Amino acid sequence: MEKFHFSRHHKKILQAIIEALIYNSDVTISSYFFDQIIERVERCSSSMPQITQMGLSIILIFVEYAGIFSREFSRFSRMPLSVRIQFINVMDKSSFRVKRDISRILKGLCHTAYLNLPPLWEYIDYRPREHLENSIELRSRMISKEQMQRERERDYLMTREKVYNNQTLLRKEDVTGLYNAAYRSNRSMPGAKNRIPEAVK
Amino acid sequence: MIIDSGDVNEDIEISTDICVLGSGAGGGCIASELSEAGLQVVILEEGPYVYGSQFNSDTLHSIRRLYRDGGTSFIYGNAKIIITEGKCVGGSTVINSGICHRTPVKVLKRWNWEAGIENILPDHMEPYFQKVEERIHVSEEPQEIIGKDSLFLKKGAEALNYKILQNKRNQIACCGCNNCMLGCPSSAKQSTLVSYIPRAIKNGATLFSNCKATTIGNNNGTISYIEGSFSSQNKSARSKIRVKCKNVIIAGGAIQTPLLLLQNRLANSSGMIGKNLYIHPSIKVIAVFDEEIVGWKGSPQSYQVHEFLDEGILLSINFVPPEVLSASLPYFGDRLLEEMRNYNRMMVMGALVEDSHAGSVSMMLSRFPMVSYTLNQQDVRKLLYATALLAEIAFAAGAIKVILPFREVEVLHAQSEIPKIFQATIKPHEFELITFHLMGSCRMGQNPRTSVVNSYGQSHDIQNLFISDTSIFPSPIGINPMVTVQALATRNAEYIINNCM
Repeated sequence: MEKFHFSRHHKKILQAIIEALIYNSDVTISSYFFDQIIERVERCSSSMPQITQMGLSIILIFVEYAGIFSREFSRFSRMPLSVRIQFINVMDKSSFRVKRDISRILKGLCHTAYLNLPPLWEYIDYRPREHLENSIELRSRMISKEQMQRERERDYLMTREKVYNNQTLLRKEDVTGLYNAAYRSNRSMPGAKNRIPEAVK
Repeated sequence: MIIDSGDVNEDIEISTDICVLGSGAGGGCIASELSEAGLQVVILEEGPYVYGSQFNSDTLHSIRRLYRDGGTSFIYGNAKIIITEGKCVGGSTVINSGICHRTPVKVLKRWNWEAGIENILPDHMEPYFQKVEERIHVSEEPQEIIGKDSLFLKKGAEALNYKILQNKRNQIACCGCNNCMLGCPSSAKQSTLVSYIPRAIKNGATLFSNCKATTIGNNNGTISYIEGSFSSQNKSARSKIRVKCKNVIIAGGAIQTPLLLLQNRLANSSGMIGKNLYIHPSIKVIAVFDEEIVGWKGSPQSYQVHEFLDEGILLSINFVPPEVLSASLPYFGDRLLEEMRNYNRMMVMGALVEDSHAGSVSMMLSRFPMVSYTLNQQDVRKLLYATALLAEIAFAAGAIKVILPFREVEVLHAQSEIPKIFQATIKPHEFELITFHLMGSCRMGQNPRTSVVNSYGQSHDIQNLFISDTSIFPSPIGINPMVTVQALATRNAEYIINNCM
């Protein structure tokens, strides 16, 4: 997947929006976090369809210049923080549907990136990694030896690397050869089936 | 054998009996059944191959890797509806909760009566359901691993005397890590990835991952080859694959299947491709409790409220990671953090509604997929009613407040405030919905003028073209569709083996 990058201009607008959306009167957020959030927003955006990426760029420009036509008579990124917060609040409560939708989209994107930061997970006491490790460990004690063996055999069957004989890239004839061999080994060669572990019951 | 795009640097041409496009519930299942019968099968999967311990709890990373368009596709229409669809080996079965329901009898009868589907009545389908349930190990999970959120749903529903049932899931020794929607790292969930695909591989099938089918070669009304390209490579140097085949089975889901057929202008003499799209629109509310729930621990969706199934409403709970949850809260700044501090005391409840109105899938400017759907008044009322029921259950279980997805009524603090939902004028565009089940865009039926495929998923127009996914459903089914797709795939595989080879 090719990575999507905002232009410097778009990044500046995005940072101004993020500052307003995640402001916290008790905590000062370092510029490192903003970079992390922007990087995450870019990651989210890179999997979007091209048409949605274009839409997002247009939305950022819309927010930046909408301020010129407001009472503030200023570009969004040049407004003081308190005014930016007020600006987003007004958009959020607007009777004009498009403004509300834009506010929702920006909030959705920025909050998703923000709440993906590890310090935030600590803050809300969300510790999924430890839980995953503990659960998998618990499962290994729950299942029978036979089941564990079956799963090992299945996992072996699903390992891609074993078929390539340590080659890093396959050429046309390699693929064709391997493809034919995979089929033959199961269908034509006498006793060949026995060489493949009994995978799934 | 599994071959990924990163392993290939030249164009490939191979011949096979069957080429299956897609490896999800329908594609994986039918590929496994056919390869087991001795046929040579090639599977082309557009998404990446991710397996076992490669699954993790990083929401952004996983959604980007496993979901189509990173979960950002949406439906055009009068409501905001997000589409969630898996795009990886195993398809949506890798990212679903693994709920296994047989198709309701009323639905099977309706398909038989209305669409004239042969051999679809419960007696006919029984052996196929049994076979699927055995293959994917359908069973109830042990009580010890059920999440506290499920227990709260049960408590609330029982207090109101609503019918609530424990779900059966496709699992072997589920350990309650609750990572289902980001892929099961313990491989306990028997998604197609760990059930049907290994079976197919064991029987000699070859799977190409990150390989998108683009062209279906049609020669005098018969499909002769499929062309695709390896999608994760640089655009300028993408290798191509050409698979010459006797039969093609498309199993890309209710959006990708009609799109591929429309792009290739195939099998559409009825004009029904892309029409009759049903989506099971789903709505969510967030209930906040005084005590800790810790929704990320324990198995997801262990119970569902079946009391309102006849009215087309299925109620349940689901775990939503903080990143996604924060995006649906109506707050920002200080207030957002204040609310998110309650994350471990939140329970996300959802209602799935059987829709009464169909949408469509089409091509915009001959290039971009366009999914359109209009929420009608009947479904709006049903969704409001479902929201009220969720709030009622939450309060009965002891919730201190319920956060709603409506601008007019953001929060309810007591059961007595539920009527506010109906007093406010909530228009369709205020709804924030999500769809997990897309169905019916290439529906089956006996009449070639009103359907795309026959009773066995075979195209009316092209004899060696089959469809094996939710797109062949003639109507919505009102419950989770995985087992229905797999039972139909098993049945249709039998038909192909007996009649087409």
